[in-house]
Amino acid sequence: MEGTGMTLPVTILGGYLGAGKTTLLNRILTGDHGQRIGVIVNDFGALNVDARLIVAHDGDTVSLANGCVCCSAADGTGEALAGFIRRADRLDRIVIEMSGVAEPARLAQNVAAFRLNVDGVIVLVDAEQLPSQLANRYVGRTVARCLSQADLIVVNKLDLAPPEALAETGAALDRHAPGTLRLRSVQADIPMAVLFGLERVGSEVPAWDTDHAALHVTWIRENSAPMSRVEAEEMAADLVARAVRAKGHVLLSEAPDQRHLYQQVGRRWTLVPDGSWGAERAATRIVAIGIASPADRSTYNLVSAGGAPKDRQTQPF
Amino acid sequence: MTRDDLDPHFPDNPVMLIHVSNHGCVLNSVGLAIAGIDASTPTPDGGLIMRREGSNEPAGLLMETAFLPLFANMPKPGEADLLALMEKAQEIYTSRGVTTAQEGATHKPDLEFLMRAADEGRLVIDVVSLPMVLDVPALIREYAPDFQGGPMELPDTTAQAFGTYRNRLKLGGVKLFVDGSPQGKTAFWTEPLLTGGPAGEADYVGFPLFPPEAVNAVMAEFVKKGIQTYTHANGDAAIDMVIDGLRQGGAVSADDRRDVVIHSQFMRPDQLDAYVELGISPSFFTGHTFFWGDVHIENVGLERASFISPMAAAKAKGIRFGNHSDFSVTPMDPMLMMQSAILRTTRSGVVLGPDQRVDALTALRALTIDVAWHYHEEDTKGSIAPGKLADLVILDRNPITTDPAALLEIQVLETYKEGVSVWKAPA
Repeated sequence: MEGTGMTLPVTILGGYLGAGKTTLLNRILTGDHGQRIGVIVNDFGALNVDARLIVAHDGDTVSLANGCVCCSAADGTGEALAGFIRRADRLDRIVIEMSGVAEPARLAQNVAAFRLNVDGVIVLVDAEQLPSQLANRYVGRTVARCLSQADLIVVNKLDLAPPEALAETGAALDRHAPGTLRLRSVQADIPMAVLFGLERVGSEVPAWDTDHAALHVTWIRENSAPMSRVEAEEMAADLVARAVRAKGHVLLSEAPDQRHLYQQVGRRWTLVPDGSWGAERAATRIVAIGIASPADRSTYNLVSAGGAPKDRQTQPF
Repeated sequence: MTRDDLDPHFPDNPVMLIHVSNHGCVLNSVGLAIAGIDASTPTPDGGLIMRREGSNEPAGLLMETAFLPLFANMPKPGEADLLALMEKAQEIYTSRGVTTAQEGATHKPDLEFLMRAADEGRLVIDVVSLPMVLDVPALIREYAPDFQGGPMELPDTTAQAFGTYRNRLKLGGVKLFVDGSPQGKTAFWTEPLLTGGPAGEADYVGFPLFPPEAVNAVMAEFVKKGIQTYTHANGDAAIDMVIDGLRQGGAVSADDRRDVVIHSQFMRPDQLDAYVELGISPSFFTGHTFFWGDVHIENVGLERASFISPMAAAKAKGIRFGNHSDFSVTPMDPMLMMQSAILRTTRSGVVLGPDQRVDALTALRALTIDVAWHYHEEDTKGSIAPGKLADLVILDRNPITTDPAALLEIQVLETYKEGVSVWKAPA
């Protein structure tokens, strides 16, 4: 078992019925994002993937034209995960769609047990329906627990929610997931870079269209002075408060010869040794997708990466 | 038990002894080596790798998150191996006098296997298969490839696939799950457990496996298409969800659908009235009073625990009910099921709900004529009468007149399926 699938990151996608998970999964399975993603579908009903995009159908597993593979969790998420681990060399990432009533924390624990790396728990909510779901006698507690265990919350169906409902949803999120960053979206249209991260560390920044840029600003933080571990933790605390996703190398004063990798999805972050610097100039470089305002830029010594429209101020939901 | 208990007997082959709860196992040394678990393996969060005393060497016992990943490399028995086991497997039933058994959670591959076994004439007893609701879309893709509909819609002719034996195999109804197990604290109750959740969570009521919207939608479709449902529900909140689903789906007692709630363990008295209204029938699990009765008292208190599988209250309302073993969760032993319905005694000797004990004949009916009624087979099975199938068991004494405490001593002498002897006690 050792050595199999060790590097496969796993994204856990939660959210109650109607929040837009299926829409998002359809985007992932049919999108032109260049990643080979294994998707485990874990809910009633089937995805209605366009048959023309299906290149192979093998039992509970469907292979798609863009290199993604979709597998049902009918035999248990563990079975499905095991199946993906066996083909880990042909995958870049795993996404697990949780049933609307499952608990992300428990699933994250099981994923970690397979020695896979939980990249983040992203929970979608229906901007209008969330308050009534929280009040439901059967599922209210479960919906609340799911929110409290999210690393990042996507408030979806913004276009369908009247202002009063939106305010109520915001208040509910303040109560059940205080401090967890929220993104807003329509039709679960979230940049793939938010879901699956920034391809490479360094000055390259993923491009996305200006509509997205209106919501998400990309920053690079660069500093050639080494930072202490305590300073790194302070940096993480800052980023957690304003970046939905961040990744980069860190130059630690305690171990300047060793490169460290910082990765973050919402409030979940890790800092782990990542080989030596090699030809790369030793420095801290973090690429972040944030919801920071221009004012934050000066405060946090962040540099706008893409120029022009990307520094438009966004309103955190 | 540790690897040291297994190794002398299995020095060369990997052996994995899975606990009945499916939460853990014991591996022998060969098994541990294949799984790659040794002294250097860290214990994962939420799991347990038991170590030998005074060392970091694994002792063999693995639980939860340490157990789960083993399935990544699990060899699966081939179809030929499984077919060869069918005879022995059925002997477990025939040797206890059972001539009709339920396959209570049939996935698509299981169904294909059972169909093959049936077509090859390997079924000695009748098997009632309940396809899993989650496998229904895949079954429709296979058996009704031209059907155009939503993910949980059924072709109008679906009901024709149910209710008729072919080579001793029939589809009885569709199986749904709404919650988990009470002893595992994964059932779904309305009132919190006195002992908290599995990880010590306060105000813990368990959880449903599916959102009510999903349950309601599939229930409505099954009611509309005339398909009987068998729904696993243990806690009263899960049972409420079944009641809601069937009621909103338009089920009424007059339709004689005989929707079955499997387990129906932690009922509230008011739910029996809903069962009457909607024509729902419970398949109780009185064996729990013995095996986990003491655990239930601890978790929900004596009063709630005492109404577990309330046979007497159901009978008083005129509700017909079955009883089951959930084999292999508890042994395949009809006398044990009967005894637990009559005595309701826990392992520690508490009589759990004395007012819910039933007489021997009622306990026997729940294993014969009233389960035949669940399967819509009461005209051919479940009692001895002219014109009925000669599915018979010969016991060495009368279970109705035997002291209930001595029921387990009763021996099966011979079992007949449709007049043919299919099992005989060794002389």
